[in-house]
This record gives sequence, C-alpha cells and structure tokens, in this order.
Amino acid sequence: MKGAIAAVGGRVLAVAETFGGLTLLSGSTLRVALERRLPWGSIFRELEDVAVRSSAIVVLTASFTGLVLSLQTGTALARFGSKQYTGYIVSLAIVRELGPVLTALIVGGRVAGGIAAELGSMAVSEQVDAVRAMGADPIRNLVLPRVLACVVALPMLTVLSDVLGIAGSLVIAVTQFNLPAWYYLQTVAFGVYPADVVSGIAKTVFFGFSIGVIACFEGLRATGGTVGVGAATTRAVVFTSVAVLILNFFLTKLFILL
Amino acid sequence: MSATVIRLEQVRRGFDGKLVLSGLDLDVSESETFSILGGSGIGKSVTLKLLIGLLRADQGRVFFRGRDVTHLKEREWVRVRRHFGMVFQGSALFDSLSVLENVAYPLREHLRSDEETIRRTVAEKLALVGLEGVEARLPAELSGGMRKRVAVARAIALEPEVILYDEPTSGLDPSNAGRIAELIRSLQQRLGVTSIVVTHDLGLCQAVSDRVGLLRDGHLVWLGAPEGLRNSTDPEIRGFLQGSFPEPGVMESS
Repeated sequence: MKGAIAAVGGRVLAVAETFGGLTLLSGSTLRVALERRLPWGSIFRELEDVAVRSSAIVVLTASFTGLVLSLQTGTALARFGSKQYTGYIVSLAIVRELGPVLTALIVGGRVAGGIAAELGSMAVSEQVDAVRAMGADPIRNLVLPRVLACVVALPMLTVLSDVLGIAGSLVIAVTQFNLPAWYYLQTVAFGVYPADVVSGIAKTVFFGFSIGVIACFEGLRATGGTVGVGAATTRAVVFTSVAVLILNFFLTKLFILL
Repeated sequence: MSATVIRLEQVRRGFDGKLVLSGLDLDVSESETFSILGGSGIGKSVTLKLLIGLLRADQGRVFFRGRDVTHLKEREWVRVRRHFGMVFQGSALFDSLSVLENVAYPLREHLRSDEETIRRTVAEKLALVGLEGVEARLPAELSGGMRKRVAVARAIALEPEVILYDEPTSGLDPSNAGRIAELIRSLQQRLGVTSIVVTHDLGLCQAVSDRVGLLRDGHLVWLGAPEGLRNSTDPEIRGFLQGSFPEPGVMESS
C-alpha cells in the first residue's frame, strides 16, 4: 500500500516537474524572442529544415486525405441524393480541422523526433554544456531557432495542406461523382468563410509553439547516452501528438466563442 | 605570493541522495597549473562544472577572483564564463559545424568582429595547437587527438584567464596523450593562463602540474608538488598509484 502511494506520488511529481519545466522553457523562449540580437542564421536554417523538408510529406498526406474524404462523403451523401453538398462539407472539414490537425500531427512527429534526437545527442555528449561554458545561452542559440521555425512553418504548411486537400477532393468530385468543377469550387467558396480559414491557421501557431517547446525540452533533458536519446525522442513524439489533440479541442472551443 | 584566482570553500554536492563532494576546499593561484587527480566517478568533472557554474553547489561557496559566484543567476554567469575556457572530456565539438565554425563560436557570440578577423583569429588559435588547414573539415573527419586539439583551440579562442581541462588525455594513445601534455604546458608558458586539469592520468599530472590534489571521498586527501607523488609514503597516494583504491564509495547525503 505504502509502495503504491509512493509510486503514485512519484508519478504526480514527475508530471508536475514536466509541466513546470515546459512552462519555464516557454517563458524563457518568449523572453529571448523579444531581445534585439536574434540568431537569424540559425533561425533560417531551422526554418528550411522544418518547412522545406516537411513539404513532401504534407503534399502526400493532404492530397490523399482530400481524395479519401471526398470519396467517403460523396458516397454517403449520394444515398440521400445530396452529393452536390460534397464540396461544402469536405472543404469545411479540411480548413477547420483536418488541414491544421493532420499537418501538425505529421509535421510534429517528424520535426519533434528530429529536434529531440539532435538536442538529446548534444546534451549527452556535453555539447549543450559546451554552449553554456562559452558564455552562450542554449535557449537563444538552440531552442529559439527551432521553436520559431515551427511557429512560422506550420501555418505555411497548413495553407499548402488546405489547398491540396481541397484540390484532391475536387478530383474525386469531378471524376467519381460527375460534379462540374466550377460548381464544386462555387460550393467551396460559398461554404467556407474567411473566419473558418483563419481559425484553422491560427490554431497552428499554437501547435507549432507547443511542438517546438516540447521537443526542445525533451531533448535538453536527455541523460544516459543513446538510450536516453531514444527515450527522449519517443517522449517528444508522443507528447507533441497528445498536446496537439488536446490543444485542438480547447482552441476550437475558444475560436467558436470568439 | 600569487593572487588566488579560484577558491572553493567546503563545497558539498550530491546527486539523487548520493554525496559526491563532501566539503571540498580548493585554492588555485594565478598562472599555476593545478591538477585534480582521482579515479573514475569520484567527482572530478563535477568539481570543474561547479567552477564554471554548469552545476550548482548544494552547500559551500565558490569564488572567482575574490567574488562569491556561488549563487549567481544563469544570465550573470554568462559574463563570468567569458574568463574561462573549458576542454570537455569528449571534446564536445558541435558535430554539424566545421572546425572553423566550432572555434569561431565563442568569437561570434561575444565579439562583433568582421568575418576576416574571425577567420584570422581561428587560424592563429589552430596554429597554436599545431593544426593548420583543417578549418573546412567536420569534427567527424578528425582523429581523436585532433578533435582534442580543436577543442583546446576553441577554449582559448577568447583568450581566457583560466582553462579547465576535463580528462584531456582520455581515449588517446600514448603518443597523442604526450602531445596534449606538451600543448597544455606550452599554452601555460606562452599565454600565462591559470589551468585546472582533472585527470586519472598520473603521467599527465606529473608532466603539466605545478601542484596536484588527490580527490577521494569527496575532498582532497593529499596536496603537493607532482614530484612528491611517486615518492610519497602517504597511504592514500600509495593506494592510488598501486591501484588498490577501492571503488568510489557512495556516501549517503546528510
């Protein structure tokens, strides 16, 4: 009994420590971001890594999501003789939810794993200590460029994802359900309001920040050699995915209220 | 009598309830090379990291040039660390950066020099450690001895007052270890820096040190000139030299 209580207590403390650490790192990152001298070279390098190198996987995911969603929705609506509403439903689902969330999950998994593995390797091989020993700030030089890259890249990739998702769904609507392309695009234009697009993209700014901070946090606290780096990478991927899903609910609720 | 550059007073530091340093006292004077000798896992690297604020003491005080730096905030440490250069055990070079960028890292961080000046300074520092024409290479393309020397070049890039060496000969063959010992000695003579070397390598200790302290059970159990090591009848020294030191004991933190 005593052991069980101690185990639960230990777990609660570990969770509190993680949340505390994430909050402190978020605060420090925001504070450093307001400084005048930013490491622009590192920021652009990381931005290229996150945005450019993630674009192929976003293209693939978004296109096939659009294709499948259109196929499923069109088939279901055809039973009720309402296949003409396919464009309206699919495009709304893509710009409000699927575009932002799938992009965050796919890019987050790739980027968070990469960041945690890289910073974790640096931490266990004393490279992070070396940064500090040279009078440099690891948050400014290592964390900020990665977090900023995620914050900037994710909305850009989401726009790409939205466009390709709708393009994919258009292909199915035209070829499978014989809907005219002009009609399909008109339902999209009438059905999707600018606020829908903006709320979907605005969410990804928060997703990007949480992906960057969680991945950096897990990487920097890696200990114990390669095993520690592996564990940090796994934690980063799992935590960022969970964070995106939970944040998505609360942000959706917030944007609906606004 | 030279001025004291670094002083530790009754420093205690533990990890997960296990005490590693149990009241360490240490004085290092201007321009001397002080070696901390001891077995593995006994707290030598911890001592170096305490000196530069990478770890904090649980108790006791750390002084740099008479200033109590024990409780400095991380941002205040940044200024103090400019006076130090540290050579890490595994070199800790940045894998993704070239030798040039590694050695230039502290220069870019602290000075607003133009690219030409940075390149010239890097070449000078590399020449000082006996390396030339390696600027474009990545750390992975260098041998262990060369990586160590690049790490030394990076540590002296800002012309620090104190250089900290963490096991500078570990993982090196005797020939390369000898070269590193020569390098430490020559840097001390040419630059007049204060050096602190932590090592388990008795040969290195005798080759470079002005004074040696033997670390055991969390504090210095012997202190003296390196010549005194081999001839010492002190049981602690004899134990270390003959390899009969017990494994580092785990002291319960109190």
